[in-house]
Amino acid sequence: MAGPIASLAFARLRRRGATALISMAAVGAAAALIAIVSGIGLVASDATVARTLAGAGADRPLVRISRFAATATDRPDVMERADATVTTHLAGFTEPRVRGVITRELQDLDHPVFELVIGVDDPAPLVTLVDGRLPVPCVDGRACEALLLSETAPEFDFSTARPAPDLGLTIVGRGVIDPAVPFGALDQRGPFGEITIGGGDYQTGRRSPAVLMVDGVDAISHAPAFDGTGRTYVWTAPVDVGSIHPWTAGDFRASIEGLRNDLAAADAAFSIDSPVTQIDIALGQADAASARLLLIGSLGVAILLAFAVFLALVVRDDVAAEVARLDAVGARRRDRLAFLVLEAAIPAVIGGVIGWIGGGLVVAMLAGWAAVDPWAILAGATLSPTALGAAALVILVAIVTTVLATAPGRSWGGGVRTIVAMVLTAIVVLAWQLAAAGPLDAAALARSVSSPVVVLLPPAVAFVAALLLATAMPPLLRAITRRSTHAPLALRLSLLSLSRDPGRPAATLTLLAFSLGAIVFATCWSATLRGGIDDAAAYRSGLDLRVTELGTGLSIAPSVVPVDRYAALGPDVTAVPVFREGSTTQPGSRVDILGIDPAVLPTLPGWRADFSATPVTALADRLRVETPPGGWAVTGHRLREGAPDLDLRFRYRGESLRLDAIVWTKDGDSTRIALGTIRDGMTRATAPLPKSAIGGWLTTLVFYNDRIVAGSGHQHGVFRSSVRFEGLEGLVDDREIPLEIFTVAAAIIKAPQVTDGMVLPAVVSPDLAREARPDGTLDLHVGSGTIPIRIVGTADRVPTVVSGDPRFVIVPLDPFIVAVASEVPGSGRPSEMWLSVADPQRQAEVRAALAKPPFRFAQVAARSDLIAEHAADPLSQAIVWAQVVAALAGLALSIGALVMGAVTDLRDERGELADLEAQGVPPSALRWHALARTAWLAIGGSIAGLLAGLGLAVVVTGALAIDAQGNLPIPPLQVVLPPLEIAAVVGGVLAAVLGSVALLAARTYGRATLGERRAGPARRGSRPWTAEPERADG
Amino acid sequence: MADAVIGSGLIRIHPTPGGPVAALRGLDITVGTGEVAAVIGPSGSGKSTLLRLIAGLDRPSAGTLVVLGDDLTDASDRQLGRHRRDRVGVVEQHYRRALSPYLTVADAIALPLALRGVPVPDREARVRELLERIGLPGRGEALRHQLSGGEQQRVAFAVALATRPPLLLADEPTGELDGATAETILGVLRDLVRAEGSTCVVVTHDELVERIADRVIHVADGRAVAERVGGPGAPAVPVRDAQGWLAPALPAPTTPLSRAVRPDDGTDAVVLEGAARRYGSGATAMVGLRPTSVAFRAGRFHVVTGP
Repeated sequence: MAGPIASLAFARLRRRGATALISMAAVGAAAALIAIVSGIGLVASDATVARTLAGAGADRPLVRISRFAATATDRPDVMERADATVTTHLAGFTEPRVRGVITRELQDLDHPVFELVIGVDDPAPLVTLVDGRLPVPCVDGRACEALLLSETAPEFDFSTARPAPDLGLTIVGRGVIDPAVPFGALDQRGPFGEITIGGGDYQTGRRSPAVLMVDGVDAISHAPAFDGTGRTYVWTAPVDVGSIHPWTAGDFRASIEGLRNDLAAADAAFSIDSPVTQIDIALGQADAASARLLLIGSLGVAILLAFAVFLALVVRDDVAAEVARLDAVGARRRDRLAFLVLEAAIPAVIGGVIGWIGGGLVVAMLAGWAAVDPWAILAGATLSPTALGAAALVILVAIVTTVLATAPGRSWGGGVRTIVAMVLTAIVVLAWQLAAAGPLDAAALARSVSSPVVVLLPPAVAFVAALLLATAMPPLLRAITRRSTHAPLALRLSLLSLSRDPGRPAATLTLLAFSLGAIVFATCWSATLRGGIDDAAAYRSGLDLRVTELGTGLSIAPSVVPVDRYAALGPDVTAVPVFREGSTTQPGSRVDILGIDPAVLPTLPGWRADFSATPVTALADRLRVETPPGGWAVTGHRLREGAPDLDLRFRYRGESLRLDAIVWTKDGDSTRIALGTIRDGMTRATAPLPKSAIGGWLTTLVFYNDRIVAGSGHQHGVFRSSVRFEGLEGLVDDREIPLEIFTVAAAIIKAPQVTDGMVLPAVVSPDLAREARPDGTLDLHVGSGTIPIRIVGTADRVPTVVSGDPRFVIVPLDPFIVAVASEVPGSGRPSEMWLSVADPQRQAEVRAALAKPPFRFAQVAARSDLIAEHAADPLSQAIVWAQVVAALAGLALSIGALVMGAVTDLRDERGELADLEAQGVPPSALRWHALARTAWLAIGGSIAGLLAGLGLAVVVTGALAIDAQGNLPIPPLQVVLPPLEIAAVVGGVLAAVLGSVALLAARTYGRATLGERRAGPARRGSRPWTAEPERADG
Repeated sequence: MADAVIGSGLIRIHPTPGGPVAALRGLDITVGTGEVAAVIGPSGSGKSTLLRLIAGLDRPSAGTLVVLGDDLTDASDRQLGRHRRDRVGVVEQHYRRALSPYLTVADAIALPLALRGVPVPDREARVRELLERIGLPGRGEALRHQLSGGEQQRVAFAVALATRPPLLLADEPTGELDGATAETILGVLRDLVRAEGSTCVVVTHDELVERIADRVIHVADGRAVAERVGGPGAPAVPVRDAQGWLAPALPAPTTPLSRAVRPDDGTDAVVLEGAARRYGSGATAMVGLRPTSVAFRAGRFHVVTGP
């Protein structure tokens, strides 16, 4: 009969007070934790997706469909259908699409400029006018108005344009069009201004075209002038960022896929760009973060459930007495079972439901705080079937474990043995899974959101820890007790009482160990992730700032020469030039070459001691090469100071060849000077020198075939000739030099360099070391040259080489530059500059200076930026917050468990303390006894918790190869143990617990005698927890 | 009127780590319906074991036991459970344990009725009736800790009799009460049993119970040694065992209670002068300890031994 049993259970719940409330709070907190963890995960995912789509201007997220058509008659039907298809599929996720067409570049028939004619439907919202007005819509496609899209004003009268004989355009204004819609990165710099470094297209030497915009796609695409002209049709729709969330991303992806399929079915030439890939990457990171949140959450839930079971053990005797009373009044077995279940279920369900609602409210608040729709978050996370099921499972587990813990007369033996066997089996399976899978990377972790590894690992670890403690504690206590015969009375009494009945103390200690372990783990892991962020930032930025520049006017390779410019940044800025180049040691095997001054290596903040078994100072020493008398300089024939031309005298015989000269400039750059075609009998060739090359060193002369080397006119064969130079001391003497050139090859005459015949020392990655010859040397293929190196050490990683499995070579900068310049004429410049700024406040000024001449279009990676970027990452923040919450909950529970245990001891329900007092033990000894008993548990639990937390941090850091953002950590995470924080946590727990217990013990045993306490009116607090004064009868 | 309890040659042997121990060694007992029977004996004499057999909590190893017309000798667990639930009310010595601290007096009395599906009006009426009978009208909303020990024991009687069981078993009902309170409580018990028409078996050390008992059975060493039937003035008759032997003759009357004194020489010691313990009175009295004087002095190693 459930009625009276339920009444009894409710009456008990109503009058039991503190324990029932705490039990409800524990289960409620567990349910709330699940709700919050699931909600935080989704909020963080949404924030990550929003962050991914947060680009502005040219970086706006767009869906762009394009198709090239060779002529106006290239399947116009497809174009018309495509328009409808695009509009249909993108509805709901994008703003209205904008259609455009862009023709190929044409030379204006009346002006010395190339022109690009584009058509846009209704361009007004997209254009920022600089002067004039917008063109009226073009109708006939023969005489239209156009807007000049140019940042610079024309240098000449450009009021009309005629890109083709049948088309006259009247230019009615000038402006710029949206950098993203509809064409994306459209070059609008204009062809009219000075071409400077960083402006104009110095790579090709071409100026930008004049872009002429006409209102109307159809008018341009059907213009007779462009009938045979290639054109690209574009449909661009800015993504409605507010419509893309983790829960709608699938629909968006499906829309894009549907669009792609429909267009592909119509015509294979369509191409689609969309942010689906970026969104998927973001969601993958979010899934990995969610899995980690789940790990933390299940850890917290395990603690809370363990606490609930602990509370059940505390009231076990009371429940047993109630069951005995039920037996006495004729309750049936089902009544007893109903009582046990209701006794456990009522607080669990009430607490769980309240906790769930509270967690949902917290999630809603967090969502509101993060400017995300709370209802969507609640529907997608907290109220999702998975989360509801998890909460129900937590409540069910709480009920079952509580029933098992409180069931009177039930031996823990058989049942527990079965459970232990099951859990141990599960742990073995989990361990096998972990061992088989190796460290979980982000993708694996993301896939494992619902994996039993993630969900069950913390509770399983908790259970094993509890089992070990419960098993080891009684014999350990007995052993300690046996050896404590000479200990003070209070200490010995406390040990005796613990060893005689170790059940609840073991539960208390286990709970403390586990919750404290969770705090220590959270602290260590959080510090490890923070350390990982710092390490990654230092690793990627070299020093404080890592600067790369596009090359000089004649070189598109990254170059930071002349390096002297960096001195202008100030005396507090240390600039370290670095050479970085891709290379191979064998076909298909890429190797990163990093040339750096060996003295800098030990000062790199990104270098960690675990990168190499050899200390970095030793590696730096091994990399040093004795400087030759003239220093590490590229040498050759010194050109006359002030001579504006390169004037070569020679006697040439043989087939015509082209001749180039390479001059190493005084500022460390090199320039290639074309001397034209050298024919049989020529004796002289001249060419003007760039200003920077005047007074430089002529290092190389290159003869090469100038004939067609490909296609139908391909000539092949050996071309023979000879040359004798005059007056080129330092490069070549006046001997006759035979030249043999096979088709595309070149004959190179090089100046001798100090590195010729030298094998440079190098520190390499271990796999490269294994490829070395027996004498420890290895050939690096750089460009067309080969540079031998000698391996002097190995390292697993080196800062700035970002790869999951790096293959690299570290070489001394100066000799390597000379060697490269010698082996690959025209190359060999420092490609990066690593800057160290003494005053962090000065970094902004330095970066501003780097954005202006004499620096070229500098790209700067700042360590502080990388750290800030990581710190602002919503996923990282969510994880850190979850850890903080779990840690605080664990801290509170640890203290609560110990204090409750002490309170239960002080209640002295078995009268043991009263007996001791009756036998003459003074109250002071009883106070110390209570304190000592708690202290044993607190200290033991702290030690066990510390070990468990540290162990868990090491295991988790090793098992999860992901950084704070859910990416592969480069360099790998290194466990950080923050001693002060750990000491503060452990010390705080001990101080709080022992202080509370000391206070309670003083209140309980503050009176002189047992008799006085019992006889006198019950003083408030003299019997903590449930004061129940006796009444004299009659 | 048929006898409520008929036990014949009851033997109960408990297995223990040290070997089997006979708690009952051929005990014979008869309790008439409507009687208040007191089973008196020293600790270890087997009276609690007898009570457990009558309550259906245990089965005899040998002999026969018929309670309220049902032979419990070889009853199944189900039969014993039904017997306990429907026909027996039990009152324990520890009255604090008998009452839930979380229920009011009225709820505690009503609980067994509710478990049996008694309608609420009937339940409430029964609770009022019982509260009247135990002398606690108007205390129905009191909680356990608001009652004195005697009041709690009275409520325990009411709880046990709430379902009108034909047999009430009381195990040391006055064990935790002082003499005056115990006397009052026993009076309440007698009146209650009479009013309810139940048969009552009380197991006790307390000789006061003899005053309310219709039948007094003295047990010693697992056997009934004497029996008195009738009021307090009726003579006690030695009980013959199955072989027809009389119980052993009883020793001299009990001497005063022992007392502890401090030796004149000031040494720490426990000194007992003329310590003795008697159980029962008159012809059925039994001796636990004959008058003895003994001193346990500090620093000495004392051994008390015997058969």
